[in-house]
Amino acid sequence: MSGLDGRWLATFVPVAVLLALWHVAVVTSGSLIFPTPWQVVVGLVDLARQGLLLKHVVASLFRVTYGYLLAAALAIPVGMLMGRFATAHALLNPLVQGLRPISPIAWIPLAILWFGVGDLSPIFLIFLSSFFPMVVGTAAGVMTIDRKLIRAASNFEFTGFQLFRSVVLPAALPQIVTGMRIGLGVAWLVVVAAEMIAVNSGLGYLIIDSRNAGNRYDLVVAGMVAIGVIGFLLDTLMRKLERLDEVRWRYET
Amino acid sequence: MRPKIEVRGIAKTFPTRSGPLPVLDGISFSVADGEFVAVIGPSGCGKSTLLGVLAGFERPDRGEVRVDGEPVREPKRTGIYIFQQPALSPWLDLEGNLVFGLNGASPEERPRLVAHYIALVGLEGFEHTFPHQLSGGMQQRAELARALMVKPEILYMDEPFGSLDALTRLRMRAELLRILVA
Repeated sequence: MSGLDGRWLATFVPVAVLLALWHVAVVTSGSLIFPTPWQVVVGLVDLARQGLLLKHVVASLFRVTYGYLLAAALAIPVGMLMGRFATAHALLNPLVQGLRPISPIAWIPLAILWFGVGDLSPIFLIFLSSFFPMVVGTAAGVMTIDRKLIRAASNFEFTGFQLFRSVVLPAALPQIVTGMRIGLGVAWLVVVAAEMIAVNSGLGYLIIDSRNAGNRYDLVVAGMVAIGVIGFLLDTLMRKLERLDEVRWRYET
Repeated sequence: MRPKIEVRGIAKTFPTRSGPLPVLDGISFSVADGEFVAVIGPSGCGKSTLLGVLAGFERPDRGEVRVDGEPVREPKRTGIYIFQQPALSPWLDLEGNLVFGLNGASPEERPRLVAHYIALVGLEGFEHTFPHQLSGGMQQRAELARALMVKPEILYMDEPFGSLDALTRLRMRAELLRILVA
């Protein structure tokens, strides 16, 4: 058995066992509302045929993209300031550490109060949820830069922006990317929760609507499966980023 | 003749948890152009601090350092510091690290220059190797090449071979003398 076959088998067997147990549990309990795996597959195909699956996936991804990119655009510069300048750190770190433990879900009422029911509320919640991991990762990345590297660069007369571009950014990049990966993961978790309350599209809405409009638990689970698959794909994408030469050195030294 | 480096009464104290720690106090000496000076003392006696002040990384609390009669205010490429542990950029290959030292200067003769200094320290064939793939001795040689390539007038060497094994250390010392004489 080759290594590749082994890996496929290791993935396939637990999934198959889970599906089998699930099927047997539904059949033996005689549940009328909980779907079998096959019913979920049929539900997924149905959603895809009606174009609903694509519509909700696109809606969720659209919100994540906006909220996440806004967060990255603010978190990375702020994190760099905090990492580089003690004053910025002293001023901002208490705020960051104080706000960070508040679950984005707790912000939902305020989000609706400020931004109403619509796309802005979930975008704001995604922004909040992914901002903190990226700020913390970036600040830590910049703060832990080997002092020798900064000194060596100043010895070769690097100053200001040059020093930043040639040393600070590349040295901190691996931790920035890790922060971005964690941020995207959290953003994907939060978009679903936000869509259950504040909007009428997206995978979160699909789930809550399938339940409310007729206890279609096959579609509820189908939505969950779609969330899982897309979340996995997003994380795979970010892992690819971690394997770039510019980032990988950090894990090899 | 005016000395290359003049050190006049420098003092440096570091704050620590158990109160201020005076590291340098009333140090004065001068070094002539072309002179090779070794600073000797037990670890923790302030050798690195002294070199850091000379190179302009740290300001003394009192006193003054002059190079060519000019007070030292910041690090300059005319005086390159070589660290006890290699300070190469881990995200750049050997060639990239040497070019880094040029800081954008002399683009025309750059390839020839890089090749020359890589050969000088005997690292031909490792141009596209990353620092962590090189041994400690090779990294120190690369750092020496990077320093020499900017044609510094002064090298501040902070136990550059201190982290190497005894045999490599002996060889590196001999090589350093050979290169400096050349």
